[in-house]
Amino acid sequence: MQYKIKKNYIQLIQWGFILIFGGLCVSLSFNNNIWTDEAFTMQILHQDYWGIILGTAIDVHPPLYYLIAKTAQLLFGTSLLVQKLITILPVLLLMIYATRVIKRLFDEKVSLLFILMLMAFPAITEYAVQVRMYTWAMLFVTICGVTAYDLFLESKKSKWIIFTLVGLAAAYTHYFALLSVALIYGYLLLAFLIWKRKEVKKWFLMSIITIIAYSPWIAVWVWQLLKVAEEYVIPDITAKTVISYFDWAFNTGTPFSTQIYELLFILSAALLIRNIVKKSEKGESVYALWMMSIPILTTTIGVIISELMNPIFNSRYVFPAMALLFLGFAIGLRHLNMISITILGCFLVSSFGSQYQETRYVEYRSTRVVETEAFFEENLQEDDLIVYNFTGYGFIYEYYFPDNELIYLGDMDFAREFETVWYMDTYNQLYFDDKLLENYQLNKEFVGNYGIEHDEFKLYKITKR
Amino acid sequence: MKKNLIRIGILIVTIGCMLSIWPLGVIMKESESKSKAALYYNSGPIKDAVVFKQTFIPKHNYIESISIQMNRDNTFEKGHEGEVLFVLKDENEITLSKSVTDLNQVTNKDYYEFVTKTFVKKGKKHTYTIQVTECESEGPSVRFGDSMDIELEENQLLSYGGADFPEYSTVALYRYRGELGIWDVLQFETILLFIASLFLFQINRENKFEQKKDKNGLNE
Repeated sequence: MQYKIKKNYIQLIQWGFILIFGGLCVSLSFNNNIWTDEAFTMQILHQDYWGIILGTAIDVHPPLYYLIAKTAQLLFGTSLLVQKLITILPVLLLMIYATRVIKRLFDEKVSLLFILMLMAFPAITEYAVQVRMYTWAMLFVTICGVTAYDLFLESKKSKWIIFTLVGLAAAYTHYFALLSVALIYGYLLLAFLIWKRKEVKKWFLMSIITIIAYSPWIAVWVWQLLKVAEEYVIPDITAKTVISYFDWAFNTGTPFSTQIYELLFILSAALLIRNIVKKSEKGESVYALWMMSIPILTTTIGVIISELMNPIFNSRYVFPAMALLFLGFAIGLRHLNMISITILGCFLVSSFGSQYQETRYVEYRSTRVVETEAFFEENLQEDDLIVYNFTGYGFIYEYYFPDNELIYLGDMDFAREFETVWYMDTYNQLYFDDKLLENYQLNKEFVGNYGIEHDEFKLYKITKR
Repeated sequence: MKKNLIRIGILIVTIGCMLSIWPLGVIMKESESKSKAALYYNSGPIKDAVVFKQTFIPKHNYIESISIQMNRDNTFEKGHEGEVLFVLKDENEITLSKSVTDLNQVTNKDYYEFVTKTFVKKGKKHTYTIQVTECESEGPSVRFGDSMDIELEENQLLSYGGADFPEYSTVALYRYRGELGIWDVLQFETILLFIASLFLFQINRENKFEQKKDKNGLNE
């Protein structure tokens, strides 16, 4: 009886956290702030399904996320809010999955710690409301990793099907998710070779099926790989960049937060190694360590490939595998006493509070989007031209000004007919030569300081004399 | 007895560490205030007795650095020679920080960071002055803008060459170390408690193990 009350109590806490997390993420969605990659998402969603597949084929990512986003758009409308909610959904699904499957495979302490660690992950709120594929990839990779363990314990047809499907879904969502899934496949094979050799045949069969199911995209993948080998937009990876990955993963904005998480990582790994040495819960501990190694190996391989080819790895590409690290954390720390776990839970909740506050600032108050939109809402006419001098934001401007002609300053012919040109002058970008004013008999009037996302510019109104 | 002493020691150290975080505030958090992008103007040349002065009210009690933007175009022909004297004073005109920089080192038309690393009084008026000496050319200028556009709460009165310009404000970036927010404090306090609980938990386990061993010994 007492056990049942305690069990329900933990379940209640878990659901409470899921609801709070969901509610707070939704509260971060009521804005119109997007960056370049999100602008790409919104732009590609103008296409139909086939157009999306072709569009992603000439880009650098696989298409599944965009197809999910398109389906959401067809069902619920074209607003940015719908897209933000669609990226929150997989995180909530993952948490719910933890209350069912992770709880079943381990225990409620593990599922609770996993949920709390996921909530406290500094990048989670930012990526949960970013209209990109990362949260979906995280869902697929994590289910794949957990199902691998489930399969190892009990080999059932339904589990093999789930494992293959989520692995494929991850591979069709992001290439570094594919890499993480490949590592999971590798670890599963290793586990079968060591402990259950009769399952190896099934593994090979399932791997062949996976490769066949992925084959339609393999040609595209190779082509994209050759393309990025020649040129990609990621800066060179240096030792400093690698160190910055830890900050990306664990810095909540609080001093020493990265070091605190690193300490937790070491503690968790040490407890797992102790279990292995003492041969208590050895299988579980080996599994936890393997899962913890997946984001590390994904990053290492990404850095090595970048060194051999061109820089193609960015810290956010390890995001899909990060939940597996937290699963390893949770398994490692589960045998601490309840008081320590409760205090750790309080730390994780305050860590979440800190990053939520930060993301809220970034989403609502860090840019001048609201005042810029209000200005253009009041002053922009249908025939007005918008000229800009910052090519890097071309994509983003297209999202904000879908009904007006947008022209890069270098391509603008001021001899053409126009009533009004709104010129967005970003500092340190292409220079507007004031001789143009004399040559084309123009008036240039400073209107004010505005900005879109992190691009702040001076806005000028240009008219003919 | 010995174990109890260790327990008490752990508790005292933990409570001491927790108090040092809050309310003593030993650990501080970095933050910054930066001018918004605006239509910038250049002051007239600053050289010798012509000083650029900005009054400001810091938001926190410790200021790491103050960055401002200088335009050195006028010094180009003479090879940017000269020295930039940066002085930060409190409301009683007491010098808190002073630095002399070779003009060549100062970034042209972008933020140049004058490292101050000094305690200031949050909410009280302070001033910093920029003066250029040993300069053969006309002298560099400092960038400023309309206060409404710059939107830098700290900035108060701007003076140049002895005249005040109340509607204008220096293009600046203030880098602080300030008190921790509530979530930061909670993170520190809970992680300290967590570490303490691990030690106490370990001692208790060892204790139980020894008791069990003793009991088994007696039984034998």
